[in-house]
Amino acid sequence: MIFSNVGLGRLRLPYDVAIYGAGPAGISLALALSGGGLRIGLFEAGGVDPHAVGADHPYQGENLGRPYNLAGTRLRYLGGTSNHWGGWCRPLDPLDFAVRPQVPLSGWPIDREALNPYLEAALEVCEVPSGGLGLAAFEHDFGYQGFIHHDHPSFRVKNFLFSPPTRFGVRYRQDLEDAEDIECVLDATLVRLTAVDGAVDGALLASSDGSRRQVQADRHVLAMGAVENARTLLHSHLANSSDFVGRCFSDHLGGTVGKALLSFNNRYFQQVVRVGERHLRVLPHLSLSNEALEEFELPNLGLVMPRISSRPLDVYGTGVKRQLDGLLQRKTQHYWVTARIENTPNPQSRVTLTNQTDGYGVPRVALNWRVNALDVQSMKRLCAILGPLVGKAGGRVNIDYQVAAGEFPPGSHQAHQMGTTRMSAEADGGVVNADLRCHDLANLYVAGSSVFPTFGFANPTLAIVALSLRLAEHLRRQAGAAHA
Amino acid sequence: MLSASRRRFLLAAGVAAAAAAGVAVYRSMRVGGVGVHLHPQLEALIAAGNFSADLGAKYLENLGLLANAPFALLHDEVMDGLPKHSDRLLVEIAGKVERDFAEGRICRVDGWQLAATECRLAALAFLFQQAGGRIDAPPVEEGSPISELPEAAIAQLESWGPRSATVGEGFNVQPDGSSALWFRFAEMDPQSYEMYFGANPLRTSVVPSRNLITATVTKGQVRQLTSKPGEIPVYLVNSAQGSKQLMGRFRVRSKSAESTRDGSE
Repeated sequence: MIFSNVGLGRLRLPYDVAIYGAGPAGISLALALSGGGLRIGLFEAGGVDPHAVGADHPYQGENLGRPYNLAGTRLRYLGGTSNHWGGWCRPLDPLDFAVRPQVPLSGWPIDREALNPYLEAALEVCEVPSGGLGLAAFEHDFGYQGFIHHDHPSFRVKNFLFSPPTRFGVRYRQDLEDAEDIECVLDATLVRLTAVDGAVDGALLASSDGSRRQVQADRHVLAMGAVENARTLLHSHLANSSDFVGRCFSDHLGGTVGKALLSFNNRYFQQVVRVGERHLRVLPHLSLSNEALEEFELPNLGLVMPRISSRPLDVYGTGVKRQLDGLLQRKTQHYWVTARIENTPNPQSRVTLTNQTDGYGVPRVALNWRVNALDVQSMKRLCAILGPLVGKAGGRVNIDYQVAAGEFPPGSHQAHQMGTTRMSAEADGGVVNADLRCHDLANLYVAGSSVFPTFGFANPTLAIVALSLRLAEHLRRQAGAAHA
Repeated sequence: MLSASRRRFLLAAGVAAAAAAGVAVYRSMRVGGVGVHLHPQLEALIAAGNFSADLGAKYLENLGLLANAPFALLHDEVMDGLPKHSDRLLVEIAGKVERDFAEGRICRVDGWQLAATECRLAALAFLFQQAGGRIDAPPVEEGSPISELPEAAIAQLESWGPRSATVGEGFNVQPDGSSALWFRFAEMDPQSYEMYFGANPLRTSVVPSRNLITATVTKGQVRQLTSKPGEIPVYLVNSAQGSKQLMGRFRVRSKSAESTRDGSE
């Protein structure tokens, strides 16, 4: 059931599991736990609708590093950031879980195979049509013909599929209403957690009417996004023996890096393909083979090349198109080159707390978003090798000179906040273990992309939901064992 | 002393005889006051407009060689490794260009990453033109790509305007005489947006902080697009994703409709 505007007095404490944050991570976790004989509290700081982001908004903070829209990229209401999600879906690649020499701090304590069943289930939760292919659809050759093909030794095709997109607060609101074992409480801001003897013993909630309430639960799960998860742990002085809380903050970098003239059958743009009787929206990305990534010392990446719909003069100004058409004796078309490149964890890129507090008395955050010099080098190296690689295949590329000089494209963050409570096998290497439980605390878990130790180049929502479904199974097992 | 016409006749006869015997006869030219020779099939390719003199000029300018380009050296470098007698010289050149990319012989012109051979070919085209040679450059043909873009929900439109105009007249006329359209959205992601008026791309300005897009229709476009009554579809194009979304239909009213309009539109 959903409690809206009723204050915190009606809570039926204690819970088996208390989840803070009702975005994709929190909602999918709560619904996956439902029906298992557990009492679940799901606490959302906002309401069912967005409210204006003013100067006093709790998400406002200070920027110390690269510019970042702290308040505008996050949504504080039921459904969380799924409310402005574009629906892009792709699981992290097996490669993303591995230890790689070219990516510092790489290596997850789980592999992709361990996540596969949950990714399949996440496709359904996120309502992603796959033409009946399931996860295989992300690597499927949908009849791509022409130049750079699956079989080319240097290249790989990596598909994105699309959720409608699922607005979790809208799509699953009725399910939350109907679930008798879930109390979904709106206007319930988590202020801080307290712990004794290595376990959380209470969570202080505050409502906009000024009321406050301590929540008790056997297990607590933070699912408020990478900034708020870190903010709560830092404010609560918990789970930070490794000093990794708030560190390795990251967001995907990318954008339009230049233009291309292609004479071949370019399919690297969003399109509708036919699978049997069904139609499927798919966006193939041009990527490199694992061997090529290692050879060129590059992290994971993907390129899309949508058609340039207008006719910028500089494409024609030098006569490159006319010459290429003449040389190859066929017409070329011009395209944007948009690159999404994996950025690597940087411990100096971090969320910290300021002396300012919001209306709930919680310290506001300072974000010092920094990019590794390695990432700048990777983008430059990618731009440098594109010319020969595409040239050999019958195309030409023109990289924006600022990008070629090591600048990332303007506006290049994707509101994919990650990394601030990283997962690690050993307690000194991160904040949570492979079960998403904080190394330091017996009953505190973290859900969402803040647990990603490395980030791949894919949008994180599908992996977030998969990790939540996996966490639900773990929590049910734990609760079952405890009851037994 | 032979007359000029007699020399031309003998040269033509020599070329024909040499071609029959499978021997390439190089064309003699004067470039920058220096006599040079040009492979006949290469000359034919240049004259047919296969290579861009504009690109060649840029390439030479970057090298600081615009005024005193080493024609013979460029020519020999292009022809190096290519068969002297081939009826498939263009194919051979394309292969050499591909090898350039594979072996890292790259040059950059205005940001384009090009093969060294194609840059040299362009330079030869420029020098050929400078020496009085004629290049029959084919026109660049482009279809209207907007029709090929898939429809997608790009952004949630709240309102837009103006939505109509009278035949031959501007609308929301700006100080420079152009007409302007505005579009307000519920929210916008930072993307590459472009407005299209029918199949015509418009100069587009995006103001993300106000969820606003404005688009300019030039006086010339107004004359062309509002020349007769009808409806013009207006599209938002996401250049990065290669998709379009119909914003609405702009109505061009006849003058008579204007005179009887009751103001209820």
